[in-house]
Amino acid sequence: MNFGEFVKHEPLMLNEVQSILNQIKTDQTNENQVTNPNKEEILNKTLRYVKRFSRFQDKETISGIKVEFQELDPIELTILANLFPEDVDEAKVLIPSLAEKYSDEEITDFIERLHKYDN
Amino acid sequence: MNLRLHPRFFGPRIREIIREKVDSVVEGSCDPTYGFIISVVEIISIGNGLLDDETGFAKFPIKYKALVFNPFQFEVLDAVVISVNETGILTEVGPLVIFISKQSIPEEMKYDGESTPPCYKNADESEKIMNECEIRLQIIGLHPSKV
Repeated sequence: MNFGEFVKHEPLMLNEVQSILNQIKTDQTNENQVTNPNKEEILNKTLRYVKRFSRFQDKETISGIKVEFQELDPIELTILANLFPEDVDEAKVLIPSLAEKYSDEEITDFIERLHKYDN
Repeated sequence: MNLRLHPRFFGPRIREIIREKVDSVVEGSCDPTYGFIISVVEIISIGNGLLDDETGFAKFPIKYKALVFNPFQFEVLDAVVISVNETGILTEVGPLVIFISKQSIPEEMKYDGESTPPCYKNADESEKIMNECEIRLQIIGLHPSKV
C-alpha cells in the first residue's frame, strides 16, 4: 500500500487533530485574528469531523498507545487507532501492509491490546 | 513555498507581514502534493529575499510546518453522507468531498427516491443509507479541484 508523500510527515490521530484545532480556535479568538473565509470553512469542517469520529478522549490515552505500540509503523498505528477494527480480518482489509508484516496472531494481539484503551 | 512581496511592505514589520501573508495564501488551500492545508502551525525559516529587478517584488523562500489533510488512494475513511440520489451518494470527510457512484455501492442497496428522506436500502430494510449517516468507504480515485 503506497502512502505516498505522506510518509515523510507525522501522522496524527483524530484526537490529536482535535486538540490542535481547538488550540488554534482559542488562539484565533484571543488574538482577534482576521482569517480568510476559505480557511474558516475548512477549519470548521475538519473540527466537526474529528469531534464526531474521535474515539479516545484524553492525551494520556494517546501517549499510552504510542508508547505501547512502538513496534508498529506510525502510519499503521494511526490508521489502526482511527479506524479501530474489531477483528483481524477487518484489520487486514483496512491496512493491507499489516498482513504482509505480521501474522494473524500478532495482529489479533495488537487489536486486543488496543481495545483495552477504549473506555 | 516562495512568497512574492510588494515593495510597499518593506519596512520594520516585514517579518510579521510575511507571516500574515503566508497564512492567508496557504491556509484553506488544497495542494496536489500535500492535500488540504488546514493551518500553518509554525514558520520554520524565512530565507533572504531576492529582488526581481523588473517588477520590484521580492521573493522569499519560506519553510513552514502545517497541519494537513492528505488523503491517499485506497485509504479507508469514515465519512458523513450529505446527499443521496439515483446516481450515487455524496459524502464528506472534513473538507474533502467524496462521491460514491452507484456502481461502487453494493448490489443489494437500492435507491429509494420515494421515501422521506430518500435513501439507499437493502431488501429487508435492515440497512439504510441517508443524509447524516456515517459510512466507511475506500478512496478509489482522487483529483484536486479549486476550493
